[in-house]
Order: sequence, then C-alpha cells, then structure tokens
Amino acid sequence: MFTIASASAQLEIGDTLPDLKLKDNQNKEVSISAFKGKTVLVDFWASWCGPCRKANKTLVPFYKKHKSQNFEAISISVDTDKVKWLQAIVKDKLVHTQLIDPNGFDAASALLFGVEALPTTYLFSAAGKLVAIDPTEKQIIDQLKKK
Amino acid sequence: MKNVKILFAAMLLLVAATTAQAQITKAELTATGLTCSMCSKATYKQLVSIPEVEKVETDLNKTAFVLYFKQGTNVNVGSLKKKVEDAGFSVGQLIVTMKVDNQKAENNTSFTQNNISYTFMNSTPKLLSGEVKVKIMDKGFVTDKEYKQLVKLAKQYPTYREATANAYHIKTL
Repeated sequence: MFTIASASAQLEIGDTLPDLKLKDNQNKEVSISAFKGKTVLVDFWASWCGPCRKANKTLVPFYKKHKSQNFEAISISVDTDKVKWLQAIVKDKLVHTQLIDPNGFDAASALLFGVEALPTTYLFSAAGKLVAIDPTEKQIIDQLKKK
Repeated sequence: MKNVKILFAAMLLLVAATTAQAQITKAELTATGLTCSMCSKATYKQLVSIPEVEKVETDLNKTAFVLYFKQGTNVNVGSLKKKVEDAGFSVGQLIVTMKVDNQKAENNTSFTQNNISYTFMNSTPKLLSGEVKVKIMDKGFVTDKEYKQLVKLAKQYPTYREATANAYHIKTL
C-alpha cells in the first residue's frame, strides 16, 4: 500500500497520479499509476451513495463512447461491504476499472485524495497530472482532445 | 448551520443484562431531502465523534446511517439528539428498540430504565416483553408538523409539555 504524509494530505491541481495499489472486482491488485499515458478519471463512490449511483448512469455511456480515445475511468469504492459493491457494479452495468478501498471516508485512498463528499472525481492528463476535480463532461472531452 | 432536514430513525437496542442495565447498541439515522447527507464526510465525522458510537455504517435502501454503540455505554437519546443538532441537522424520527420485561403499555403510565423515565402515549394497551420498538414522541424527536399535532394532546397527556433530558414519551409500534 502506501503511507500518508499528513492527515490533511489531499491532491491539488498539478499533482501526479498517485502510485496507489488496490484490489479490483476480480480480486486482482491494480496499480493506478499503470494507467499513466491515458487520460484518467478517478471516481470515488459507494454503493450506498445515491448521487454516485445516479452519476454511474451517465458515466457508463460516456466511458463506452470515449474509451477508444486513450481514456480510462477508475472507480474507487469505499464500500465496507464488498457484496453490496459487487452487486452495484452488476446492477449499474459498470465495465470500466473497479477498485475497492473498503473503509468509508477513512479509506487511505480517500484521505490521500482529500475526498470530502461522495461522489468526487479527479481528472488526470495523459502525463499523469491532476487537471480538474469534479470535471464536467465537456472538460473531460476537451482534455481528451489535447495531445 | 446547514439547512439539511434529516429523518432520524434510530434503533436503540436496550440490552438488559441480569442487572436490568439498559444498553443502546444500534441506531439508524435516516436522511431525507435533495442532498445525500450520508455522502458528506463532515456529517460522518460528527457522528463517529459521538463517544458512545463504535462505528457508523450506511444503508442506501433506507438512506440511513446505522450507528453501532460501544458495549457498556449508556446512551441517552437526548444527548444523541444534541450531537445530531450540533452537526447542523435535525431529528425527524427516532425509533428505539428496547428490551423490557413484562411491561404494561398503558397511556400515561411510566417505567424507568437507566434513570430515564418513559411514558406511554398514543399507544395500544398491551403487555410488552422482550425487544420492543417504540417511537420517541417528544419535541425535537418528531417533525415540527407532527409536534404541532401532538401538543394538542397535552390535556390528555399532562406530562407531555414538560420535556426534560430524563423523561421521554413513547408510542409503541
């Protein structure tokens, strides 16, 4: 895993995509820094978060439409109940990268990113730099157009 | 102060040991409104900061916080309410599950657990035994609208207006 420098650690614009390793929904360990080179949207959510589930409805078609443009979406769930997490993935028909850090707001990844509310999304450039927090679809599309 | 309206539905499990020491082990906190109160770290932090709370879980189906209390702690629903209000929202409903032993539920009669008295109101007379669900009826534990209706019954329930931290009115469910 990783250590947190301070309790108030949180990502700021320009910061690098952290070298964070979490288990995916196949129970495989995935390093999010491995996605450097792609435009990456990191999405913090939980199965019990109504607004997150609603956002999934727009993320699914958005991802399908844009994944060929060197784009990856990484959802990090902070669900403490893995069963509910897996059920939500199936129900919401999520096909992008699904990771879990099962410790609610105290999840190390949520602390590292500085998540204050769910959902919160972080957009990283292909160079692995944070370019926007809670970007609009247009901001993501504009970022995908940049070379 | 956030203007977030919260329904507070708490399952307070009063575990009667051999000494009949009541103990609250769990509470469900239900949120309503446009915002997802459960999705705010600030609200979560406030709830986990309650000394009696061991852990806080969430339930989408009930849009509820589920509060688990530490063993051996005595939770006064009044101090729980205050903590909720300190967090910037209000209690809309509080339902407690308490363990009672052959308790007659009769309107205007009271029983005491942990130095806190509970008086029945609007209840169907029956004999209660084991774990029972009751709703706290006092001001601040029901919606303002509901309280306006309930206070009209003050003649019927003379103690109702005298809300104190150690005396509550309950309705059997």
